[in-house]
Amino acid sequence: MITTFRNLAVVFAVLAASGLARLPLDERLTGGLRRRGLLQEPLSIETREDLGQTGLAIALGGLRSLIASLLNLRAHVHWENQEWFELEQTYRTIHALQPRTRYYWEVAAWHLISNAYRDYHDKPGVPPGRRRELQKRFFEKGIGFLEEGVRKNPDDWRLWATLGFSHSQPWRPRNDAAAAEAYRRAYQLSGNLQTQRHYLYALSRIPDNRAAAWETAQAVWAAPHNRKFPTVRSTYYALQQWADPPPSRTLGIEEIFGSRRNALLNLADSWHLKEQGFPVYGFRETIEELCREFDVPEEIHPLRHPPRQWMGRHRGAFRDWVRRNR
Amino acid sequence: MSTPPAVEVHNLVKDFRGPLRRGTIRAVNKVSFQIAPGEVYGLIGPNGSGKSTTMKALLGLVAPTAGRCAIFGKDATKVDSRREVGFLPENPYFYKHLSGRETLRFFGKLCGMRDPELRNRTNELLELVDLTEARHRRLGGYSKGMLQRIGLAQALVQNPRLLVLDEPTAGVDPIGSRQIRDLILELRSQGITVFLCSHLLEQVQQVCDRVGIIDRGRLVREGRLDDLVAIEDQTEIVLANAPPELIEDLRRLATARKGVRWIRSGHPRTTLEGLFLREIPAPARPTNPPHPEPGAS
Amino acid sequence: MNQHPARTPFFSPRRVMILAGNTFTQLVRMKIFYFLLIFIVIAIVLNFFRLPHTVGPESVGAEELRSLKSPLIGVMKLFAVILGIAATALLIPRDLEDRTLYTILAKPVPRLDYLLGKFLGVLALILVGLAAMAILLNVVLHFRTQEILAERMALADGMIERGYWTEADRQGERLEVLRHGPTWSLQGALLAVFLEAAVIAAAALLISTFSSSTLFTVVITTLVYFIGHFVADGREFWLRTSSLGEDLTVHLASRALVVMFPDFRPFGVVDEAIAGQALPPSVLGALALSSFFYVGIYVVLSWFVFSDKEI
Repeated sequence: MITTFRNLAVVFAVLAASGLARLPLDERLTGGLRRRGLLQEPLSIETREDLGQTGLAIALGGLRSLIASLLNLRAHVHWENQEWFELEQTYRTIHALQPRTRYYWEVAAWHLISNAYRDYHDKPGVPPGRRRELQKRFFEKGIGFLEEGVRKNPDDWRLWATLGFSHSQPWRPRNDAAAAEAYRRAYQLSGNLQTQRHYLYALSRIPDNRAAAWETAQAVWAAPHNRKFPTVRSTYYALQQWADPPPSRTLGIEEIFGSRRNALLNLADSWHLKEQGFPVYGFRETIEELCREFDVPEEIHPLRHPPRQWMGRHRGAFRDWVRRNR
Repeated sequence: MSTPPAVEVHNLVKDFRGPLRRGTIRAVNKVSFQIAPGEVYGLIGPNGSGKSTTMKALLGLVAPTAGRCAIFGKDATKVDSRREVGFLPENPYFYKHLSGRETLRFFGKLCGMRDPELRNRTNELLELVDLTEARHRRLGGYSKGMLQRIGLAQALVQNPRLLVLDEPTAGVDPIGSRQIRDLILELRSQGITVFLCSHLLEQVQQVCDRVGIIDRGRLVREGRLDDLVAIEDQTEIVLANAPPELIEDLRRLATARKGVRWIRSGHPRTTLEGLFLREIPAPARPTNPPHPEPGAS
Repeated sequence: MNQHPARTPFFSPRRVMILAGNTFTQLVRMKIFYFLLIFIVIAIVLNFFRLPHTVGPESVGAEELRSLKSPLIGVMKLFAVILGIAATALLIPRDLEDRTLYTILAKPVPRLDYLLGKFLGVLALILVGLAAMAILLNVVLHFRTQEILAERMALADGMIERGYWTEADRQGERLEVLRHGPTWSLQGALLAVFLEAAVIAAAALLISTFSSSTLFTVVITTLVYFIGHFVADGREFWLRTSSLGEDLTVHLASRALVVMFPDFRPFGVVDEAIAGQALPPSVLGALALSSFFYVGIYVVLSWFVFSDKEI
């Protein structure tokens, strides 16, 4: 008996001593791993409560990814039942478990920004005023998810791009400054040309920042791959008109659009973009000039109709005309 | 130059801690004895007398509180001393998942043996204990007697000079017992020392050269078996085919002497075991010369 | 004639291997490998699992691979840890009960060799089991990844055709899918699973030298396992807040208590590897070193206790 106690005491003493001795090493190892994003922070009290017993046991046993996957399935059920509050809650837990997994941030934001928003548009049983309020709230929560996501994953360019995209969607509240910043970060991290283009688009929709937009347009133009996108061309053209550089650095219509015909087609299409905030410097004059060149009839002239109407009714005829003529 | 005794136990004391209240229990109390090489020594005593503990101390399985044990001069607490010892524990279970052959090979390898020597020895021992047919069967399927026999084989696998047996024939049927006894005697004839514990006194009597009687941790009596059990003032003469007239003559001759008393004459009794073995033949065994039994005719 | 060397070596690798091999065989013949069958069934079922989605984020392919990896690796981890605890806790008490221990130690077998042999036998079993499951996991993962890769590449081709994407984009997409498939980092994570099991098995060994009951050992070791993970979380809380001007002895005592348990935090890199993160070899090296340290201490302490143990 006494031998057992003595042995126990020795064992405890050695364990405690060795534990204390390696304490700095342990902390250094774990700290280093956390900094590299290879380890997560400990679970907060709220998350533990949300997980329930079994979940907590498994999470403590060390497989958070498993719980996250299972919770993701549960979130899908919430989606199918259009239970947006529960869905949001589930994703909060998932994010606490796996903050470094882009998919969970993206899909959570997508559900709230696209699906919840759309659902509340005409959700039965909710009064109209409240609907609008909830739409707005869920949209902001969705954005909030993405913002938290990029805070936790500042190096994930795809997540930045998703954030940028969410700020600049048609049919959703738009924030060009935030979109521009997000796309800028995405481009900075990746060099991906698509993000660069979108950076330009977002930036060019900010009326107070034409100088930065012009600079960016030139950078975008520097990559040959970018030059074939219609919106790039029209935006470049508009910003060039605004910046009015010396002739040696001005690109002509043929240089930008490839041909005068392409220029006319492109500018006509891009004219309506001014409703979305895109710069359209010099479009009116140029379109008039080119329409005269191509003898475009008044009925299908892009500037004679409200843009939406023209797009819907006359665009096809216009394009056929321009293509056939000259 | 003297060879060290096979076993030397000197003032062995072993205390166990009882439940906290009751203090210590002295299981072995200053036990001393020696076993010369080539002897068969029996330690007998009632259950709980300290036999097993003494044995375990000798094998280094428990550490003595005081005193020392040595095997062929080597301290029993050192692993080295067990090189030359084979041990058959009471009610041995071996690894049930191993077959007979695998068991022997396992223990042989633990003793440092290698093929082909190990293979030969394994086959030889399986023959010796008559388990050749069952050698590929798992020990989980062995009967008690078979387990005892494989236990014996395992104890012998490394050709030990000392064999320690704890209750070798407990629970074994008479035929098995007989086989084990014969084996012990054969081993003795090969010069192997045997140290056994038993409470089956009859069987101890048949094999041991010397015995020690242990009770409540103390060695109360020790010595040569013949000396101990001989009833000193009596003489026994056994005759075969003696006619009744010869018996009468001897009787008159004896009683004519002063002080001699004729105690008894008649047919000596065989043992029940002898009768049993006569009626139920043992399975044929290739080796082993028949051993003369007292009283068999 | 048998040759007895002059002295029994204090520690003989050959003897340890014999005991380890015997332990391995013993455990295998206990039909542990039915566990493998369950694993195989789960793996096959999961292979056909498709996440319900219509339109959604593009990284859903990666999520499908994660949904394949995390349950399978979960089963592997469960297997390894349960075996590590239960098999080790079983060995010594069973030998004691069956008196096989007497027979073995009556041979010239030092107690250290015995302990090591048992322990290594359990580790060998876990290793073999994990290796078999790892192979299956990698095979299933490979096929699934190729499927998803084909889908994404078809999409990328379309995007390139329409002029939206460059070749660099396509490559990026390819790498993005592949990093969720069977990578070296994932294998490293599986190794980490083994290491964690080794540590807890060593802890079970230590605890089993104190008790003669398998059940007791299993319960205590399981507690140590969870506390080790939980304390890892609470450790920082303790260590930071416990220096709040309290009594020095209390402070030291609570610190000592916390550090007595193994620190399982670094093993959480398995989670991140499942999520597709890369695991540099240096991290694995550090983990391995840490595990060796734990195992070493526990085995030495086990030997210390076991040498004295009355059997």
